[in-house]
Amino acid sequence: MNSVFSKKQILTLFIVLIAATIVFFQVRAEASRDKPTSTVSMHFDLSESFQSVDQLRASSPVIARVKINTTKSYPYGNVVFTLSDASVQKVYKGQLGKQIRILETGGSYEGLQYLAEGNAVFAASEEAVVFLEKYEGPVAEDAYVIKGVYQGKFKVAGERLIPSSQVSGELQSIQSFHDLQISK
Amino acid sequence: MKKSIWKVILTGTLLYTAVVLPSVNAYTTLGGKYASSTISYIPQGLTANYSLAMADGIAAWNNANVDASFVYTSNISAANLILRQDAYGVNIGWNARTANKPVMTSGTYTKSDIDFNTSAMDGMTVTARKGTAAHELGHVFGLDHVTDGKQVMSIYGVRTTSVPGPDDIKGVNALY
Repeated sequence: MNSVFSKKQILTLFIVLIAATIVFFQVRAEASRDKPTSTVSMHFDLSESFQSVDQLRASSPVIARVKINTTKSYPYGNVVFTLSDASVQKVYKGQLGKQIRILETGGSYEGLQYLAEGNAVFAASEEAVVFLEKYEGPVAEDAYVIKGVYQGKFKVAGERLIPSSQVSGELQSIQSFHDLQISK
Repeated sequence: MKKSIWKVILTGTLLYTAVVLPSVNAYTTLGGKYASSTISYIPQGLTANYSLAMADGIAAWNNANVDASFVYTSNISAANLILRQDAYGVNIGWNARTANKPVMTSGTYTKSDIDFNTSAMDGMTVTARKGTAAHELGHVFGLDHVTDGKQVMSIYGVRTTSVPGPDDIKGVNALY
């Protein structure tokens, strides 16, 4: 009986199918590895607390609008941090290059999503106005940190700005670029 | 007639101010707590300054006559709370952090971590370190931040005490 496929073709097809199955399961395992299944909200004794935009501005050497390109979460000591690569879209105060790295406390690691007082770290493609200073410490090199951990971070949603959770005073009512006394 | 109405209004206002307002809860909770009122703890690698801060913070709560307490265990796998220290950077933004697991915002806690940031805390006074430790221990009980600086659950810079205040105590006693 003459088969439509030769033995060689059948063997090749079989090997390709096995390889595709292995790749499929590896990709799926990789995707699920960092997918958080439970949330841990971290609570801090903050070094600084800001009640107003004026306080935040005076304390921040750098203020900029950024767009996040990539993020990477990793543990240092007993704490999970996230380092984000961001494109600088506009600088309101200080001097910055076109690309910066922003270090945040929190992120997703080993199936747990660590939130800073209920606030998630940056995700890719998010935009925000951030009040920054250069980070001094061992967790990341050549990076900036957000003033007050999450207090100096305002996510851009179209024309609106969204302040972080658990901020105090005037910062709770920030809704626009005008409220931050900056242009879009 | 008018005078008596005003008297009633005035008396009612005074009574409300004197009795009702002070009894309003001035604590906030995270939404979760431990099932037991006895929370076991173990320090891991704490140096002398931070062992003292931990001991002072625990004593502050245990001496406050709250309906829950911290007890030492030498069994790390059985401990509810593990206290550690590391240098995370002088301007990372926090002096210490607490993470209650599995989920901080609801349910029953089974494990907690307190991590002291030595980069930020080394320069503190002994009393300030005690206040930070007591504050984090309050989070382990399930208390959230408050704005009143006389409570240990107020934030650093606002806080004027290193021991639990009356509202902190009410908060723990409401939880346990």
